Amino acid sequence: MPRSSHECRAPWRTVLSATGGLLTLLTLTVVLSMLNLGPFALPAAITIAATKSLVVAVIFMDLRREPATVRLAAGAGLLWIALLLSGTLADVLTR
Amino acid sequence: MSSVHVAHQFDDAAQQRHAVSLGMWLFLATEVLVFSVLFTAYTVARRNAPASFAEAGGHLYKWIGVANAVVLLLSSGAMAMGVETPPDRSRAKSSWLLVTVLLGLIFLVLKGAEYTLDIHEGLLPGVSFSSTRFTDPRHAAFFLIFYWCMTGLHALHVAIGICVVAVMALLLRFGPEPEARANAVHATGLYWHFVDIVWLFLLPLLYLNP
Repeated sequence: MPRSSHECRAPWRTVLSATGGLLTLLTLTVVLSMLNLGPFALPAAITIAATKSLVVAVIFMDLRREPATVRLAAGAGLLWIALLLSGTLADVLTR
Repeated sequence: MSSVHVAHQFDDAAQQRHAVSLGMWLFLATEVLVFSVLFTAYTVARRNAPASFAEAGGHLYKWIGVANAVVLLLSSGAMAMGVETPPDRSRAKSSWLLVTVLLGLIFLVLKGAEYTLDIHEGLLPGVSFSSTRFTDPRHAAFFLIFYWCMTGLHALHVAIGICVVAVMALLLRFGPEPEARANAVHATGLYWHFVDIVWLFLLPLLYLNP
């Protein structure tokens, strides 16, 4: 349904909480990089980076309140990365 | 209260804002295309020479990368506050955008200092490269080329973002009808947050877990 521009904005408390959460996740990324996690180090770091990106997209970029067409456009970018990475790695990993 | 100017091709303000969001997200999807090619190429190259990539990545200034991540996250917070501020408080809105610009400039200064240190330490293949520092100079150079291309393209985006946010801040403060610029500020914010997201992935891939 159409909404006014005022309704689309996240409250400033939410913005502050999100910023604090993002800085906490960044600290976690740095701490984990100092531990010897072996083959799990990069997947763990990328998972945290994806979580941070989700917070930025959903709260800062207001994606949670956008209509389906806008979410579809945002998803198109993710779909492209997924296709490119999976297609390329399917070739490289099976040689 | 302020009223948003609705262009003649839109039924109402909500439809106009929807069009702004949709257009900007579609543009950002094309930006994802650009960066995802580099990320995919990096993934394949890293898989072929993991030890060399790890060794070369160990020479980067990790803490400058982390500091820049903090700066960009804070700038995203400031940008979000600017978007959140009601349109009738255009001076406050402009101030948050100027904070964003300041943090963006700090990012570029830190990045410039890091690049200078990199060049002095022979980490720029083809120009200033100390091959004796690496056990596998060929793949180390490969990693460093990715480092310069990915961070360079990102820095270019930050520089463009700073210009756009600065112009928006000035228009809000000195331009006519600042209340009518809420959608433009929203679109500018989307671009800035996207630039922040790219760095969130560059940090672990290049600096923390190369």
